Amino acid sequence: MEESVLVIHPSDNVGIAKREIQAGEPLTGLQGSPIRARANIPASHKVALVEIDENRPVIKYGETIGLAKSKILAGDWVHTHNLKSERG
Amino acid sequence: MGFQGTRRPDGKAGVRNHVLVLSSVSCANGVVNAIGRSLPGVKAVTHTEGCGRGLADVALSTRTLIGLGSNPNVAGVLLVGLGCEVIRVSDLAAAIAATGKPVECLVIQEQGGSQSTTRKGIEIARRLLEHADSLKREECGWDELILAVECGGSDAMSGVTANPLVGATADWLCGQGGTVILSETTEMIGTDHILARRAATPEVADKIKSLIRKQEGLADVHLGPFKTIAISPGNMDGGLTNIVEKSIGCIIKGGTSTIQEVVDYAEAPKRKGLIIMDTPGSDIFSVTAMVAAGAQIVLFTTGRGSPVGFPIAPVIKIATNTRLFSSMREDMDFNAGRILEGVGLSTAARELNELLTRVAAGEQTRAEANQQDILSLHTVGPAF
Repeated sequence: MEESVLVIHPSDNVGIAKREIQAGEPLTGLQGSPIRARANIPASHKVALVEIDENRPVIKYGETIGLAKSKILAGDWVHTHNLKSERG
Repeated sequence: MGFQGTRRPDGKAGVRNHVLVLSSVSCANGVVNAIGRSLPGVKAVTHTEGCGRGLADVALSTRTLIGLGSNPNVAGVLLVGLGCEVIRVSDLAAAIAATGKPVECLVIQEQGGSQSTTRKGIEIARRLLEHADSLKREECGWDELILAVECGGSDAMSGVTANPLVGATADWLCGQGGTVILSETTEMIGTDHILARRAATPEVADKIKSLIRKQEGLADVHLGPFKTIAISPGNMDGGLTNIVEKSIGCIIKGGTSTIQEVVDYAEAPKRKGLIIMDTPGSDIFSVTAMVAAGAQIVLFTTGRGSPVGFPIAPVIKIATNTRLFSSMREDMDFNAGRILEGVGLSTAARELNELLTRVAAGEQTRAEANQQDILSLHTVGPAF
């Protein structure tokens, strides 16, 4: 089975689903302790690689793309429901 | 090691030896097309401008046309005008001739009409083709290359596979002393703080910020509720949460080098390294501007499948996903989708650099083979 997650930049705290990932499926293609998807992650969407506290930055491309609306757990799907933008 | 290019009289290096037959005004398009039909070896380029516009657009079109003729990929130029237009062939010719390359002019009203001008034009263009064919390639340095980067018909993987790949090649070229032009101001909205941080000087940082602010204002005025097109429902479905994330995925194709200069639409950069150019996000306007500024090669990423090329510069089409690469194989040069299939970014970047080297030395791109010779002159005001 091909690895399921791509991490664009080493300092990112989210990865990209290379294909649709099912809830409960272990994420592959990562270093460190094993993580399971906590929700279905659609292809090309973001998945949290570590725990991100409320109001802490979500980092992709090594840059802050927004802040966590609420606490995000490793393996969570990250999108508009839990990521707020710092600008309009 | 550099690339095999052709040296122009002004010392610049071309990757092609095109003979450009160019209208100064749309009224000359019929003659330019007739010359092109008789001599398929020339690049017959027509457009919709040259007259009936405000001062800003006259300046913009003039700069763009002079830039296209001056591009080092062009070995010789035949300009065709009507005679009563605002943008005169004599003015364009004088500016292009400063490069030292052969430039000829024909004015339809002085030649006795369309057929006489076409006959004369074929004669002149044939001579220019012979000249172009006689030129030999030689070793040129990567510091002589200006690379344009572009994305069009993007998809959710553009910012994950193809744009970071092109960014790696852009960083490599800047490291070799070469130049990369990143354009599409609309696609930079939301990333002004990131780009400004990478500026070589505080002045460049200020220019970047005001440029992006101006474009955001224009989007407000002219797109209104459609401004959200910049982060559309389709973007969201693809997993992009906000405009910052979407725009970083776009600017990443310029790499992460220090930004040396900000230039206007079709303005030739004075510095080497990474350059930002103010252009619309619409890809054909953007590519036209970068080639008019002197870019010899275009790296163009696409996820939905854009077939467009450019008349005088090879456009390398990079598919963001394997499905597109297979389904539009005849339009695609490189498959960045393999980055999702276990091929590392550095391996893919090395392969792309090899392709770039071959294309610089003359290997035909798919868009060239398909004669996808598309160009649009950007305008900012009304027609009069």
